[in-house]
Amino acid sequence: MSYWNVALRAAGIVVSLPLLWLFGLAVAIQAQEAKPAAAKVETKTTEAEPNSPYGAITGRVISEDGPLPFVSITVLPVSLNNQMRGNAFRNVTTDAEGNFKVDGLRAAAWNVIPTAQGYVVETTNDEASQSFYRIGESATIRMSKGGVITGRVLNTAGEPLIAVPVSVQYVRDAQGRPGSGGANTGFFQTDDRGVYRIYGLSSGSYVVSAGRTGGGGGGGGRSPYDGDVPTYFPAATRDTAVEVSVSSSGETGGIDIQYRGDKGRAISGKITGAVTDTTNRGFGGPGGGGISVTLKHAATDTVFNRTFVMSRSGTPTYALYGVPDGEYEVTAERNSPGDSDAASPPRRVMVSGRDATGIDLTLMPMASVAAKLQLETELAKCEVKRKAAFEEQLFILQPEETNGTTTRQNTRRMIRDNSLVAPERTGEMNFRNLNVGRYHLSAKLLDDNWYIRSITLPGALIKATAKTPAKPTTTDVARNGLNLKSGDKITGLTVKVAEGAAAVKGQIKADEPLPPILRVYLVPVEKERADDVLRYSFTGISTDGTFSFGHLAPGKYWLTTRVEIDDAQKKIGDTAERAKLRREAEAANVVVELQACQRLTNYELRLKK
Amino acid sequence: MHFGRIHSLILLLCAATIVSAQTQTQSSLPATASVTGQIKIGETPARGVSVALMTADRRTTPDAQASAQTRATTDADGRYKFANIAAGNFRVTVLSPGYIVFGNSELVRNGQQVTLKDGEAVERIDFTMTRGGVITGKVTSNTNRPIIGEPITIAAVDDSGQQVQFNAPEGVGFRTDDRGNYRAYGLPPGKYLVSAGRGDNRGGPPGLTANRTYQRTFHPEATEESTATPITVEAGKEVTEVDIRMASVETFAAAGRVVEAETGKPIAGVLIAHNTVRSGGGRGGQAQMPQMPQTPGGTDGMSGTEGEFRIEGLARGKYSVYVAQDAQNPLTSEYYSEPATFEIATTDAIGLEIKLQRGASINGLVVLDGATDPNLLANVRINAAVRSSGGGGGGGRGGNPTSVAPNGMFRVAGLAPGRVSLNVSEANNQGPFSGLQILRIEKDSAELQSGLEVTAGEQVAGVRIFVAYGTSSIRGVVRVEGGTLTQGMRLMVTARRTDGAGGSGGRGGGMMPAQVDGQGQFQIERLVPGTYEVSAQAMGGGGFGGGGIGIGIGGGRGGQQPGQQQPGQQQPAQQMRAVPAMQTVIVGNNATQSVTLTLNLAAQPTVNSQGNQPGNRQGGQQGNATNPPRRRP
Repeated sequence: MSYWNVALRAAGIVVSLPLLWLFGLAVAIQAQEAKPAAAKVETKTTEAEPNSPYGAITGRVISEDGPLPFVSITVLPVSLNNQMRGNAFRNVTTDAEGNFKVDGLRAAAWNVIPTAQGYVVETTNDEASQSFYRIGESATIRMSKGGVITGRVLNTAGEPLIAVPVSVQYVRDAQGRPGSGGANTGFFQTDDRGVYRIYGLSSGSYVVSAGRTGGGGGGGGRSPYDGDVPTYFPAATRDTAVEVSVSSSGETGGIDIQYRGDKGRAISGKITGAVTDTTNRGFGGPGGGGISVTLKHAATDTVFNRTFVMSRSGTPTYALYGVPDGEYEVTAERNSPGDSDAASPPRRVMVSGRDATGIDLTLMPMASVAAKLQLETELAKCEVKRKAAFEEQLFILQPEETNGTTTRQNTRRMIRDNSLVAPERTGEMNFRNLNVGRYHLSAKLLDDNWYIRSITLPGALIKATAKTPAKPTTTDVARNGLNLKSGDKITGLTVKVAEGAAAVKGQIKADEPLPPILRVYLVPVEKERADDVLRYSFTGISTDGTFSFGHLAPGKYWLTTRVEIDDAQKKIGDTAERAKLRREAEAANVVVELQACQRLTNYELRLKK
Repeated sequence: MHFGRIHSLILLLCAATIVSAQTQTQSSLPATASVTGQIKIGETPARGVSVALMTADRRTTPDAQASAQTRATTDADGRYKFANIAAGNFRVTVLSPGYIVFGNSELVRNGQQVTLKDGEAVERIDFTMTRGGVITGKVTSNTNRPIIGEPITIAAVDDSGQQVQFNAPEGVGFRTDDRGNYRAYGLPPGKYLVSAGRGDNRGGPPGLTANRTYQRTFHPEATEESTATPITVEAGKEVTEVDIRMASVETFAAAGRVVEAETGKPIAGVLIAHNTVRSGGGRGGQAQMPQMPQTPGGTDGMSGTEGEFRIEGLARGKYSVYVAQDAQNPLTSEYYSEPATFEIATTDAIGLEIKLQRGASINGLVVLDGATDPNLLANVRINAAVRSSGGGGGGGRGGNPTSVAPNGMFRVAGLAPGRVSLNVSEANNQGPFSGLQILRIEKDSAELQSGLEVTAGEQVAGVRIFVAYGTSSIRGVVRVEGGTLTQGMRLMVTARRTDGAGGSGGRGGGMMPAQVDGQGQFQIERLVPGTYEVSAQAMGGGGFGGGGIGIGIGGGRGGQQPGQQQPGQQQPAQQMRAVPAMQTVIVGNNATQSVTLTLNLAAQPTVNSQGNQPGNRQGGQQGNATNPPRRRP
C-alpha cells in the first residue's frame, strides 16, 4: 500500500464527519443571500462547462474572540468513485487575520475542513453547515473553543490509576437529538494523579469511559489495563452509563470514574461466502482488500470494536476480544479495490458471562449502481456569473431505514469514502459497495439554480401494437426508490436536472414559542404533480423560526408545517402518507407560486393553533 | 478492603480468552510450574500492581506474543503469583506507568527473564519501584496563545548535554491540553531536555500534519537543541513551570511559471507540486531508515492561463518544484518537467521557471501468457521509471501508470532521456501482490535484460512485454534467534525476483510481500518460475499497540482518525531491528519451493554514519536491585 493511499484514507475519514449530518437533512439549504434574477427562456442546449477551468476558494475562520489565525484548512474534492489522485487535496493555514485562500483549484465540490486543536466548528443545528464549496466561492467558518470534561479515574480503594485511556462518545446533541456516536478513542489518558482532561468537545451529551474499548485483547500491550473492558462514568457498563453534558467553551468537572477492571469476553467465528475477490486477483489482505469485522453495540447502534481478518489459506476466522457483556451486532465486510465488495448481513450476539463462539458470518456480494446526470437547458436560464459544472454537484444513495423507528443514519455506511459521489464532467457517476435494501438518491446541488427534474431507470419495453410503436418504460426511482439485491449491477439510472430553480426563505410567526422539532413542507398544488415526489420538500427551522428551501422547480406550492421527528423522506415516498400530507396542505391552503429563478425572501408563515 | 475481592491472587488466564486458533496448542501442554515474587515501592509492599508473564518462546509474531501473556495483580503484601504455567522461557514485567523499576533499562523494558521447567516453582522474582519524577509547564506561542494538543518530547541528556537513551513510560504520550499545560511523569532522576512540537525533518504526508505553524522548541524558547536549558529531576520530585514559548515558523512564497522548453510558450492548467530537498541528514533520535533526499511537499494547484504558479507557506529550506505527472492531462502525459530548485532563506523565491520537455515514448504490446480472458488486459498498467542519463535528478518519470488497450497495445510517453525500466501492476490492486509478473521484455524480438535506453524525444516501437499470472509458490518458516520479538515488532517477509524479467531489474514494484502467521510460517503465492531472493526482517517498535478500533491505518476503510494514534515517543514508525535474513531460491513451473530463514535479532543493522545512533545506554538509572531468582526444584 502506498504512502499516498494511507494519507488519503486518513483524509477520507476527516471528511466524513461533516458529511454525516449534512445529509441528515435531505433538502439542501443554502445559507447565502440569493438575488432574484429574471427568467429568460431559451431553447438552445449547452454543455455545463464552467467559464474558467480553475479558480480559488477563499474564506475566513472566526471565533468568539475574533479571527482565528493558524487554522489548518484542508480542501478535498469529492470525485467519481473517490478516484482522488494523490495530488488532489490541498492544505493551507489561515493568516493572522484568519483569512485563507486556496488557488488553482479545478471545478469540483470542494470539502473545506478546518482543523484547530481544541476548537470545534460551530454548527447551528437547524441549518445544514455548508462544508462544500465551488471555486469562486467564499467560506465563513465559525469555530469556538470546544468544551472540556475533566475528572479522575480511581480504583475501588480510591487510588488514582495512571495512564488509563479515557474516551468520550457523543450520544446526543445540544437539543437532545441522537448524536453520531463519534468517539475520540485513544487520544486522552490519565496522568500520574489519575487526572484526565478531554477538550475540544462540541456541545451535547457524552458517555465517558476509562479503559480501552475492545480491551486491547489482540494487541497484548504493556498497559496494565489491557484485557479490561471500559468502565463508564460513574462506575457503569455501557448500558448503565450516565450521560455527561458539556457546552462548547464550557467545562464539566468532577467526572470521576471508579474503575472496575471487568474482563472482556471474545466473539469469534468463521467467515464464509464471497470471501475471495473475484474481479481482482489480489486476495484479501490487510492492505485494503481485507475483510473487516465490526461489532456494534445493539442498543446504541454505535461501533464498539472492529478487527481486520488476515487472509490465510483455508476459511478465514475472526475474533473480537475485550467485549463486555451485552447485546451486539456483528457484521463482516470485504473491501476490495475492484468493484466486488461484499458484506454479511448483521448477526445479533448476546454476550453473557462467557465467550461467544461459532458466530459465523456469510459474505454476500454487494451491489453497485451506475448513473448519468443530464442537464435540461431548454426550460429556463438564470443569470449567473459562472456556469455550473457537473463535477460540482453531489449525490448519495441512502439506504432506507428498515426498522423505521428513527432517522438515525447508518453511520458505518455513511463513513465509507465512496458513499458520496460527484459526477464526472460527462455526468457519469457510480455508487458502489451497496448493501441489500431499498435506496433513495439524494442530491446536494452546489448550484442554486439547478433542481432535479427526474430520477428514472429504464424498464421493460412495451411491445409494439398495430397502433403504437414499441415504447420504453421508465421507473420513477425518485418515488419508488431503488431495490437492490446482493450483487446487483444496475446501470442506466438517469438523473435529470434543469436550470431555473427557485428558492424560498421565510420565518414562522407564532404567538407561542415554537416547538424545536417543527418541520415545514412544500407540497405541489398541481394535481398532475401529486405523485412527483421531487416536488415535495421539507426542512427544519432555526431557533429564530427561520427556514429556507432551495432547488425548487418553478410552480405552485402549498406550505404546511408539522411537528414530527420521523423520517420525512420516507413519508413522502409512501403513497398514502403523501396523499395525507397533501390533504393537510390543501386544508391549510397557504399557496406560494414560484417563477423560474425566483428568490422569494422574507416570507412570513403564520403558525395556526 | 478492595482486594477482599478476587482481585488479589487471581490468575488472569488471558490465554484462554485471547489465544487465537493457531496458538491454542500451547495452552494444552501440562501446566504445572509457577512464578512468584514481590513488588515494593521503596520499602513498602505495593498492592494492586499488574504484573505480566510473557512467553518468550516460539512466538514469532506480535499476535502470538500478545496471546501468550498472563496477568497477575499484587496482593496487600505486594506479592503476585503465576500458577499452572507450562514449561518454557518467560519474561516477567511490571506494568506500572508512573513508577520506575530500579534496575537496568533492559529489565524495565523487557522484564526479568525466567526459564521454567515442568513443575518448577520459581520464587523471588522481585522488583523495587519508585515514583517517577514529574515535569510540568505551559506551552504558549510568542503571542501568548496557549498551544493545544502539542506533543511534548522528553529527552534524557548526560552532563555534557549529549542525548542518551531513555525509556519513557510505555504507552504514555505527553501532550499539552486546551490550556497549553502539560505534565510529563514517570521520569527517572536525571537531566532532561523538554521540547514541544516536532522536528522539521519529519516526513509526514503533507496536509495531514497537525501543526506546521510552530517550530520544534525546547524549554525555554530555544529552537536549537544546543541552546536548550536542561531540567534536572530528582527522584520522585516534581519540577514545575518548565514553560516553552514556541517560535512560529516564518514562511515565504515561491512563484514562477511553466513553459514549454522548445518554444518558451507558457503552459496553463498543469498541476504544480514541490519536494523538500534535504541537505544533511536528520538530527538525533530520528528514524534510521535510509534518508530520502526529497520529501513530497504536496501539490500547489494548477498553473494559470499565463503558466504562472505561486506556492505559499514555505518555511526556510531547499525545494524543488515541478509539474506533477497526470495521465489524464494530455499536456503532461507527453511531457516531462525539469524541476526548478530553489532555496528560501530570507525572501520569497520569484521568477522560477519549470520547463516542460517533450518526452520520449515507447510503443508496444503486452502479451498475457497462458490466459485467454481479454478483460484481464484492461486491468494491466505499465509503469515506467527512468534513471536519468543527464544526471539532473528527479526529472525522470516515475509517473502515473499507463493503461493498456484491450488488444494489448500500450504507449508510454513523456519520458526523460535515460534508462527506462518497465514494470507492470494491476489497476485497483491496492492489496498485496496480485500475481501479475513480467516474464520477459523483448524489443524487436531480442530480450532486454536491463531496461531500455531512450534518447531525448525518441519514439521507440516494437517493445513486447510478456506477462503472466504465476502459479508457483514459496513456502517457508522464519526462525528467530538471538532474542525474541518484543511487543509491537513484526516479521516481514518479501520475495524479489533477481533473474531476467526484462527491464524490471529488481527496481520498485518487484517486492512481493508474504503473510506471516503465528508460527513464523509464510507463503508467497502466484509466482512465475524464476530465481527469487526471499528475505525476512523484524520491523516496527512502538506505535503498533492497541487492539481497539483504528488498528492499522490502511486496513480497510474504517481506519483511524488523525490524532487517534497514541502520541508517539519519538519512535519511528518502521524501524529495522536486525540484519535481514536472506536466501535465494529457484522456483520451477507450477511448483512450491520450501525455505527456512533464520533471523538473528542480536545482529544489529549497521546504521548510517551520522554518529548519533543511540547506544545501549542505560539512561540515568541505578544498579540492578532485583534479587537473583532462587530455584526450588
